[in-house]
Amino acid sequence: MNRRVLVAMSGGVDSSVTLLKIIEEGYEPIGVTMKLWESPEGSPSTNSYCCSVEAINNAKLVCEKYGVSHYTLDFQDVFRKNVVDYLVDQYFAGRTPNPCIQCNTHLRWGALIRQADDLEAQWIATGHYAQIDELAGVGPVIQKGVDEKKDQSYVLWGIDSQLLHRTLFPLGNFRKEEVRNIARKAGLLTAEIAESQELCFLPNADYRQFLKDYVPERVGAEKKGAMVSPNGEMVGEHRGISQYTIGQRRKLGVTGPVPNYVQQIDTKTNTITVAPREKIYFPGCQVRQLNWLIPLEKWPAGVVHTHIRYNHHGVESTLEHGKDGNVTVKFESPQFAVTPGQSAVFYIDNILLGGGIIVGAESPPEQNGLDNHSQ
Amino acid sequence: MVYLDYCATTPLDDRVADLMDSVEREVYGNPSSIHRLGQNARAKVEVARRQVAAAIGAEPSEIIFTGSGSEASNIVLWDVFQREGKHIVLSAVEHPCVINTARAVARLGVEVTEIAVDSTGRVELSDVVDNIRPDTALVTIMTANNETGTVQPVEEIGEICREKGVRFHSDAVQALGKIEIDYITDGPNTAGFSAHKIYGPKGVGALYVQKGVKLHPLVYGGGQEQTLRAGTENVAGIAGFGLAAEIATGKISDETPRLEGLRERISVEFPSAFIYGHEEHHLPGVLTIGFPGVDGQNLLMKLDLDGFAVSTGSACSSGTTKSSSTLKAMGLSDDECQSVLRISPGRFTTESDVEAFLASLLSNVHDNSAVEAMA
Repeated sequence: MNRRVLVAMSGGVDSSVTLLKIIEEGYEPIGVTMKLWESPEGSPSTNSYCCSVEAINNAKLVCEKYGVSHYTLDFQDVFRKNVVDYLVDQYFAGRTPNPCIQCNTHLRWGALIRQADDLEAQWIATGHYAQIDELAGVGPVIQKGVDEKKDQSYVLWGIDSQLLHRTLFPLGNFRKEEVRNIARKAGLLTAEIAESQELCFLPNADYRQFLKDYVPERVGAEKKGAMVSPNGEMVGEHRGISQYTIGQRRKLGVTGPVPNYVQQIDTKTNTITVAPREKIYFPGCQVRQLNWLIPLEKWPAGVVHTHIRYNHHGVESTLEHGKDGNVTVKFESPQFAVTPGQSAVFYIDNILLGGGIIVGAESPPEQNGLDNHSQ
Repeated sequence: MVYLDYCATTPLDDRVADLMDSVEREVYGNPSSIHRLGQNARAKVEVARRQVAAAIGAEPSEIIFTGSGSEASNIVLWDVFQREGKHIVLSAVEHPCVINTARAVARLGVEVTEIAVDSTGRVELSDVVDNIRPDTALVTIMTANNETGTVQPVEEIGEICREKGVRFHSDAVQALGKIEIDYITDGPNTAGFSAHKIYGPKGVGALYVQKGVKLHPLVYGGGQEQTLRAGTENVAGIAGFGLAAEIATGKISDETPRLEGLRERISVEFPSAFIYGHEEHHLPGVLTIGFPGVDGQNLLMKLDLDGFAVSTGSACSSGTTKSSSTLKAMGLSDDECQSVLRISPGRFTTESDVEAFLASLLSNVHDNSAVEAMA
């Protein structure tokens, strides 16, 4: 049996150190960079590092340093269809998607796994800050990375659990600063490359600008509509629902004694409800398209915590499993801006159980004091 | 590593490497200098000019050294714009250095007509005749194609152009040193060549300019190369090119049957594969072969990991796989284009290299077909 591993290399410091660790652990690495996106000439994202020729060449140089083969894989079609077009459709449906999750499910644990099959590689390795551990009676499971600030397990819930035994996360037990130091010590040319805070196709994380560039006709054809207060009072006009996300405060065009936030986006009536911050807290949510990395009957003992967005600290929750496989989540305390389209991701301690897509927030009970949650 | 990608580039001939090394170290004078050291350098350049001229049956004064074959063709195409020519005729299978330059001059107002090729990649002479207009300033059709090895009827095209009084350029980068080419009587008025395809150095090319043909330079400066290509000459590179041209031309008659034998040895093992290009008029040894249902990119990577270097269509730098425009012009579908491998053996390829390669190719093609069939 060969020890071949496809190492997904973006040209950044994390994936460079991933390669280093894979070599140290005695695997036979093949470096690959997935070419996912080419920004249209002249668009603001043309200068983004991710997927650029410079990034690809840096990945090649790191591989060359260790005598490792490197290939660039053209996955632009898969990416456009499963990530970009999905993202666009979600915004126009009034939801706020997380493209990283789609990208992991369809690209790394999709197209890249198929590539690994083609090249007879047993494993893929990525630079995610998450850990794979054996759980007695279950097999491999995902745990949060030890660097809680960097933990990326949230974006991994959509992976087919059958692929965990083919997955390596060599950075999961390191802190970011340690990773950088390893890179510096090894003299990697990627050691000082700045953290990428953006997606390759979303410069400055500005999805509104992206929609204007990518689907100008859809943005142009989108209907304006009413912006109302929770009691139905007309307070303004919205520019089209794709331009809003739950919890958004800026650019609402509504003035008042206290700041307003988007509380609800109703595509049926093309209405956006805005409300003061204390009314943006929700006691729970409905979740669909669930994927369990650990079967329900094999969950470890403990309290379930739900993360409702990336970098969310998690909230103690009770899960009601419907007959249809969907889940209704009751939070221990109401949460700010529960957003349809985002993922609800479930943990017991540091163990990732699985997740799904939030399709709706439970309405806040009327007239209860929520002041203690208005932080 | 067994190298079977001689159409992409070739290893340096040892004699060429030795010559270049000694010129680089010892003959450091500027060929334009009047003193003895300058004279030494001038001699190296002029010997090389005679060697390249002899290789193509031209006069030494008809050879202009450039930085690459691409630059040579660029000079000729840009000249059309500079002399206010109105119309260019080219074939659909030209190298990017011709197609993309034609597109650039087209943006500045020069009209460009692309003529189709048949399924073997050859142009029809009647198409050449029919597309030449009274205001046609240039016909440009390559001598041999880089992806399929198909050789064009350049002598006949030359005859047509001479009768019509139209200038004819041919990108002959792939032909030099592989087939006998005679430009003195019936060939093109200008032609481009490159050193690194014939066991010479990278970064050196030449432009044949028939006596009496006037061209505008692209690089203006100190008047080198009959004012057609300014810049201090790459003396060592040019010297290497001269020797490489002499050696390669001298070996054509011996190498042709040997390389054709290797080509035959490979193709005979794949009776159900498609072989692209012209059965008779092709470069010795070049085999462009399509394996139905097999992804050429994957096959290339697997062969590479097994230690065999081949190519799919054209080399690409940005990581984007596009179907080859040459193969599409020959009528291949996108799927067919993706299944193509270009195998180009050369001077240092032995029979045992080919046998070892065949073993890997046979097993990888059959594995791949099995995988595709199950999918």
